Amino acid sequence: MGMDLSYLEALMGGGSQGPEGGSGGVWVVSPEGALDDGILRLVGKARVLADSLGGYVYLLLAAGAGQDAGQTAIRAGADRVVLADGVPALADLVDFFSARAPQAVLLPYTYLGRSLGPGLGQRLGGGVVGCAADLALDPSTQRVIAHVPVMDNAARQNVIILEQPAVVVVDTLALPAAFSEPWRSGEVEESGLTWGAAPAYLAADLPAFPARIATAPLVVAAGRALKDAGFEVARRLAARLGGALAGDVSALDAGWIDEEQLVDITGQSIAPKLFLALGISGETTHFMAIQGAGTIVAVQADPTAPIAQVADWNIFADPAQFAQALLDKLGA
Amino acid sequence: MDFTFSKEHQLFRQTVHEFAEQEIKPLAQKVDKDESLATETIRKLGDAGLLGVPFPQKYGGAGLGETGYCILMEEIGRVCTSTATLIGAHVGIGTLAIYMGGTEAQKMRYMPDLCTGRKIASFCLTEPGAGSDAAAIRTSAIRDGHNYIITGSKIYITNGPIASTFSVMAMTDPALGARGGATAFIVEKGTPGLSVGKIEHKMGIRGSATSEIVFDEVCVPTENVIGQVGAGFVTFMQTLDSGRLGLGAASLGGIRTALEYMAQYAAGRQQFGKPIGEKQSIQWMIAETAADLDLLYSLVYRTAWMVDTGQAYSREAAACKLFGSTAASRAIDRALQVHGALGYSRDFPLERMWRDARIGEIFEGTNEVQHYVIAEEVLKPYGVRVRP
Amino acid sequence: MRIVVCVKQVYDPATVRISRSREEFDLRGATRITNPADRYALEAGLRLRDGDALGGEVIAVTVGDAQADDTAHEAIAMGADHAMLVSGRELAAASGRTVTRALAAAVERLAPVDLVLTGYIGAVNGTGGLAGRLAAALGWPVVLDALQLAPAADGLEALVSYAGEGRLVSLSGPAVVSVRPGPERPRYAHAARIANAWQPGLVETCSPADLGLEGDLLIGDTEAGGLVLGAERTRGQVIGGGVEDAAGAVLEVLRSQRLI
Repeated sequence: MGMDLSYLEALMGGGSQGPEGGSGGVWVVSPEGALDDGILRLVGKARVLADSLGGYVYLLLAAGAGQDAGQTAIRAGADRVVLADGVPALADLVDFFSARAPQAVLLPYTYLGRSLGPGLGQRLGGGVVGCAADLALDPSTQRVIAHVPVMDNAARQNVIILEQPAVVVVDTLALPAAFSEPWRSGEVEESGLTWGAAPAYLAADLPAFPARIATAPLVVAAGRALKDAGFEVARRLAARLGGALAGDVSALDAGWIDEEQLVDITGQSIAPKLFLALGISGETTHFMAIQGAGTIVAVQADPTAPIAQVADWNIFADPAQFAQALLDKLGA
Repeated sequence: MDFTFSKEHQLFRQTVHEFAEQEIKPLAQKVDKDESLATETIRKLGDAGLLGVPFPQKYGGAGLGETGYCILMEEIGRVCTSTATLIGAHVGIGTLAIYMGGTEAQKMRYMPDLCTGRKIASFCLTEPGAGSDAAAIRTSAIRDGHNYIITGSKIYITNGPIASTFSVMAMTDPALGARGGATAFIVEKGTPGLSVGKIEHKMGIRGSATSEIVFDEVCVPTENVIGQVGAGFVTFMQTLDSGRLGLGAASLGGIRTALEYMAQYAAGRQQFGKPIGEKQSIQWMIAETAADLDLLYSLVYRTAWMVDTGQAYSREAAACKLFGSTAASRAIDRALQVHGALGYSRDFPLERMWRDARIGEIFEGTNEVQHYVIAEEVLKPYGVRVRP
Repeated sequence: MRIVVCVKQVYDPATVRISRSREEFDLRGATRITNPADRYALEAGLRLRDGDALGGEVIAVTVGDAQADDTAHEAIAMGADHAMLVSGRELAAASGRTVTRALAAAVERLAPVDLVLTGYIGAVNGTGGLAGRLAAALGWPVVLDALQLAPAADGLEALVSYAGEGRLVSLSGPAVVSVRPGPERPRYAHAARIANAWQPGLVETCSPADLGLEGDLLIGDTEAGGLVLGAERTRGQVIGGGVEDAAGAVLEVLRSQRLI
């Protein structure tokens, strides 16, 4: 009676179908060689996918990352870590993966990840998703499903990847937390691959963006309760956050803001991702102007103020003190 | 009957709507408070080709016809009546007088700069003693060799302080009366004797520059006669006929905004535990405004179609102005009432719109004159003489 | 320079609703517009052309169904010299691979092309992968997140926002560049150009078959499914504790939304 136990061997990471075989499996690529929280989360997600697919998790770490990094990745869920020197160009990754037959290749949503991922998928003839917040597997078809943020992250769309390999650039921030399981084991392999150095470039100044309140994703708005001194803190907070400074009618009257910064249906209606209202008690016209805002955080002392019903988050405190505390936490 | 706008006009509306929202609307309150329109705004209008919309491209215009012009006036009128007034006086009457009455050489000479906004036009007809009674003008133009010497003054001239090209009506032969004795001239800024007089401080459209224009023996060559000597009155009346349609379109924009504000506030403002939009009194005001909007919309664009297809349109254009101005004032008044004390506050745009709208019943031919124009058209075939 | 700009017709996000009950997009009443990000790409191309002492040409290419014709004409109204529309019913809501193939075929048909520009992402449900895919299909380098493009000694120089820092990237041959919105708005279509944009001969329409794309080549690599919605918005929640704790909580919210 010979039972075919090869699947067990595969699961236990050994045998002829072991990860040294290098075929199939879910690959995570860190082209910058970083092993930050994002990559570790991605490895963890790859682990979940690989377990359902019945395969291995490989991590390709470029830019001369060391053995220690490799071990951390193993504990986070990788079966095998491949180390390489230098920064890969698209052709390097195409060569690397053409020799293997990955089921999925995952890259982080960094500049290099976004530059290399889609092209890699195109050249490998796979299915490509340029930005996903999460990944899942369709158990019946074994296809990777990418959860793509849509409508400015108002929802996510399930995108079924029909071709293999599934090449996905993943925004790792939204993934479940990385884990570290000391009992995991695996190999860290020095591939001997030496890719080129990162291309040289000249640093340059980015153009200054006028913080138009109509288009800024983050708006800090000042209201009466701040008083002059508090307004100064609010102004510095807006600058430090890179957000646009706005205000309600009392701020306009106080001379803190000008007409173009007025948020009120007499001025402008705006729809930023986050609206931080400091010292604003809130009147109907002000609300109507911020109805479209993604998240409204209101900091003022009165729990009965109209804005408390409308804000997603209320902080009943002195707005100037809060602004200073947030500024302090942000540091220089 | 296909009521769809052409692709060109659809894209044009989309473009102007965006322009108005991004470039004009944020500055509207400030324009009113400062009583002036930034030269930057005029430059942007010119750069986008919005200061010569109805005129053929060979003169530097956009070639979008009267329909395009009405779309422009509606979308600008939605957000800032002062800006719409500047455009209306510059395009709708100032430049139009040259286009309707001028020779080919005059059109080629003056219109390109006006269509690009490099120069602004102004229409100088009204005098202290000659408002509705335009035929009673006293500004004289006396022939002197190869020139005319123009003496007199005009009042309530829109764009007066900022214009470079003035279309002026003056009496060349008082004995003949206005029909035959009045001539239209082009006078350019910088001509000795031409000056901007008293600046008008108005109830509304405060961002629109209005002033007296003084002609102190201003000498212009005979080439500056628009068309023929003695044809001035007819040219100017025809110009006004057409220009007033643009005002109807601007009123349409105003009603649209009033309705939007009303509906928005009715939904957002809660009293007695419910949005005020659930109260019949508010619903009635909204319904009446919406009906007026639909009426004026149909009238304006049907009339624009008549202009663009070469049909007579005098009566319809007058109806647009007559109905549009009163409907806009009513709509804005209702919107103000819906907003209550907030509507009365200077922090809220309705108060400005209310002041801005009032002029609609007065300028470019008072509503009383519009009644005459319409009555004349109706009664003409019956042989009844209509005289103001 | 011969510059191709990829412009896409998308649903106007302001008119798209999300149906919580059916967990899908509610497109009733949704209107279509030129992808806002692509207008920045078109503006960058127009500026390069206008600044080119040797003269240049900007060709807009759009892939879509018959209605996408409007986007091709809008590109002309904004200033493109001419446009190509690759049109077919199967191209409405086509997958990334299909669009990439169609665009690559169009670029090859328009050869020689010196530069291809794309917007950085498609509105509503874009993922920003087009530039990389198209570059790989053409065998050209890709440069992402360019804010400005200028002619340089032996080609072009792109000012790129590399993770928030400015870098100058040199390009000496054909490349695909994705354009990130800069501080200036794209130009408004000039009224006279709008009036002329529908004149004959400005937009060349072809089918995928005309470009050699049929059958298997049109099979998509992904399939869009239903929506997953987050929790319903709850207003009026309170963050307790003192200003210190509250500031910490707000910092977390800012980070989780990638606002800092």
